[in-house]
Amino acid sequence: MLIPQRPPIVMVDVVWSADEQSADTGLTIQEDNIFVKDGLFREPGLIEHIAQSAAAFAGYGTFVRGEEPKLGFIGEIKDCVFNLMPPVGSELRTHIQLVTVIGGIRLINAEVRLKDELVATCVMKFFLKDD
Amino acid sequence: MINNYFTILRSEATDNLSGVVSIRLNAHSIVYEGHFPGEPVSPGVCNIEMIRECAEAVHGHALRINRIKQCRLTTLVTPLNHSTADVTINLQEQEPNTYRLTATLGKGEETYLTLKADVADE
Amino acid sequence: MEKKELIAKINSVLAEEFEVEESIITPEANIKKTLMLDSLSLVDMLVLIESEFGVKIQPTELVKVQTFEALYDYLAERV
Repeated sequence: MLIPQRPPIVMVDVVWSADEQSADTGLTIQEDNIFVKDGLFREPGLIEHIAQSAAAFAGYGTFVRGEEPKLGFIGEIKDCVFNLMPPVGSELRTHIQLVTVIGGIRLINAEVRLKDELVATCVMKFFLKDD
Repeated sequence: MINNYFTILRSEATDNLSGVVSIRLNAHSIVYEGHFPGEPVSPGVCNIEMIRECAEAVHGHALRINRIKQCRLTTLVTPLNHSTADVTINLQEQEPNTYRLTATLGKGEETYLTLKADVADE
Repeated sequence: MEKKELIAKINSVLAEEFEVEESIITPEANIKKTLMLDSLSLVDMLVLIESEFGVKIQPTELVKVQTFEALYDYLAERV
């Protein structure tokens, strides 16, 4: 596992690819997902999915270096726009791009897509423990 | 949304746009089974959702978050160390039925989380 | 871009991002104090300047860029 979260709050079920600069992750929304309400995956679920995608991205770097994954902490969520709430059964695909690392603060851009549609975009800043 | 994540202890609304909601975090909520096993930490997104629901309590109407302009997570919140806290809610009408929500989660002088978001009547 | 235009653009971009009145931005004012920047928002400023002006300020050079005047000069030399 690349992320420290466990059920029922695992919001990434596949890491398609990852390198030092970016990662692509996915999530298929199950009916019993705790962030589903009235058949739709709601805003907090989308943010958690993005945060865990960022965690998977951070975890991958340490994974390939043969190190133990470091715990990551979100410092800030910015300019997070929700265009739609995906229905149960949707297969989300998310791209995480590292923008910069300044003084131990990592800034990433995230784009969540459902096929060709842009579901949400977000900027996040996070720290790695002991970084 | 998430059963048993928190309980509203008291809600003091000045009007339908601002107020303070006192809450209790429930350490037995299902989210702590996975966040993290044996080490309960309140997920930031659950706290954002809690703030949205507190805003609805003050506003007296369902609200949808369209955009988070900024959310700062300044303290690691746990249901054991932060079992009760206050949510301050301030809504400023921008256009009819859309508002800028400015909210904090904290206790006394300490702030755990600040949120600026664009919300709309649902 | 003329320096006067550049200054106007810097001021308006920063005032909008950090939600301050443009009138409080004066050449001799301290950037961090005026815009109320902490370590997280400082990252925003550096990213914003890079995207708006195509200039990357190295964190190590920040000590030289304390006032708006210093920022105008820094960018004017590099834009």
